[in-house]
Amino acid sequence: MLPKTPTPLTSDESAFIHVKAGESLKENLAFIRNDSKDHSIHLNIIVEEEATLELIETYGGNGSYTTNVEMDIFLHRNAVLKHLKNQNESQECVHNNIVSIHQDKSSSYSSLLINKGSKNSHYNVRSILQGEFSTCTFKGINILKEKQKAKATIAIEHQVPNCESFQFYRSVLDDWSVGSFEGRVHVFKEGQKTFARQMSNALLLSPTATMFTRPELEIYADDVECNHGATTGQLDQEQLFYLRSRGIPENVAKNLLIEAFISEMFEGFEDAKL
Amino acid sequence: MIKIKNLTVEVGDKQILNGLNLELKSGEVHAIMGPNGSGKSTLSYVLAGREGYKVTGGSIELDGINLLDLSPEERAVIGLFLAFQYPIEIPGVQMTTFLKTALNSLRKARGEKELDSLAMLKLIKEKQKLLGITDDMLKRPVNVGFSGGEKKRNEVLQMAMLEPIFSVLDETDSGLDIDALKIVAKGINTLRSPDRSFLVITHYQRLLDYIQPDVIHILSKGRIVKTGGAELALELEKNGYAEFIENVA
Ligand SMILES: Nc1ncnc2c1ncn2[C@@H]1O[C@H](COP(=O)(O)OP(=O)(O)OP(=O)(O)O)[C@@H](O)[C@H]1O
Ligand SMILES: [Mg+2]
Repeated sequence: MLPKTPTPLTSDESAFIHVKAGESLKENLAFIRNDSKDHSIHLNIIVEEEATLELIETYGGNGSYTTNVEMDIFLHRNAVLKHLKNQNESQECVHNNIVSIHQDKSSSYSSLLINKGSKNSHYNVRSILQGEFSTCTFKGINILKEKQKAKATIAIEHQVPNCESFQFYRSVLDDWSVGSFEGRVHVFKEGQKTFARQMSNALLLSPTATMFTRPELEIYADDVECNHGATTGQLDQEQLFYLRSRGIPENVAKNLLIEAFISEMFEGFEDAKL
Repeated sequence: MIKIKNLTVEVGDKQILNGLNLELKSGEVHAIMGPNGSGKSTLSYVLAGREGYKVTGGSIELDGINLLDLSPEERAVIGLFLAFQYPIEIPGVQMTTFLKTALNSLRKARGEKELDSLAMLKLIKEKQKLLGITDDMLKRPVNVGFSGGEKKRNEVLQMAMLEPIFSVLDETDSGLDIDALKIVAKGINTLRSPDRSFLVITHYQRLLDYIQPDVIHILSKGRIVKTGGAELALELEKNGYAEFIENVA
């Protein structure tokens, strides 16, 4: 049984979002920092049976500070959570985000993380699919430059049969930036008919940018479909020339191609902006 | 309009153009014909400023401006356009975004007012009708999922939108059915005016029936080996390139 009351909130800045059975809610949380102080945020989210939540988190600020976000999400039967996170913290910030998600039967979680800020960010997710026919999608966009580092660690547990999970990452890395993606899918012995996909694509805009991708599949059921893939590449010179030959300046043409590279990630999140 | 003098070009370590001379006056349409691998596309890419084509000698001027000093986008700004032999697919960039960005980039660079969405849409509609481009094609990403013929028509659509003063069409007629060929010819003929010129690269007499060039050149091994009138194309159609190629051997 998933809880319907919050676990005690431990930090200075916390929020408890509770969507009652059958209801639907839109919630916008913005954490904008200009005080150069460290922050610890605890978010507790419960979406009950047949309820829907659309959640937007935005992080931003100035100066040097650390943000620690701890997030617990419980999705009851048939609950739906659409989750957009804009991480646009100051370039000197360290941003850590630990997310734990429990999903009951036929619930659906889909998220898009837009990761642009912080000198160092870590997004660490543990997702537990414990009710049949539940589905989770983690999409992420990294736009990094200079010496920014961003790491995503996503571990999904398929504890029961007939669940789906998706992890799609697109990284655009300039200068000396480093992106890293570790996606883990763990299918329990009971997790028959699991469908899991994982893909990381990186566009390196500079020869000194690096992307690390490490997929990990741990599968104990025999009737599953799990696949993963990774690509790294540069901007396509032929496409760039084609655009420029039509009078489009080089930097505009590059931006068009970069936008094109990440555009698919916005499916289902049409209102989201970079 | 365009003056190419003694142009020599290397690709990789291989010399492809070997002292090419060509001059087009305003309002003229010239055709270039020549066997596969003779350097026709190389010439078109050098004109458009593609990387990897090393000009080792000679000059190219468009209306007195040295093209070789300019980036591809600057060449477009002064009025050059290349219809690609193999148009490039760009997944994720919508056709309308592409057309809008291209035309407004040119207008901006020329100090003209950019068109708003409404004016742009009207212009696209007008050209689209002329060239039989479907709404569906405009909703797709640039050239993605277009048939060979649709890609070629899309090149002509871009030309019609951007209204260049000097257009190079590299085998825009290849792979077209007869109706598409007529449409493409119409696209060219509509733009034709005393202050625009066209260089049409083709393998077939067929296109020339519809657009009647003023001059025909034969390119072989990186050089123009023969220049003449419409009769040259007919002669080629009948006898092939053999006699012209022997001339230079
Ligand atoms: N990147 C390259 N590296 C090496 N050789 C090249 C390269 N691009 C073109 N070439 C060579 O240059 C020569 C001329 O090619 P080009 O494409 O200009 O011919 P073309 O006249 O347009 O032929 P077609 O009628 O088949 O289109 C060919 O021999 C070709 O193999
Ligand atoms: Mg060619």
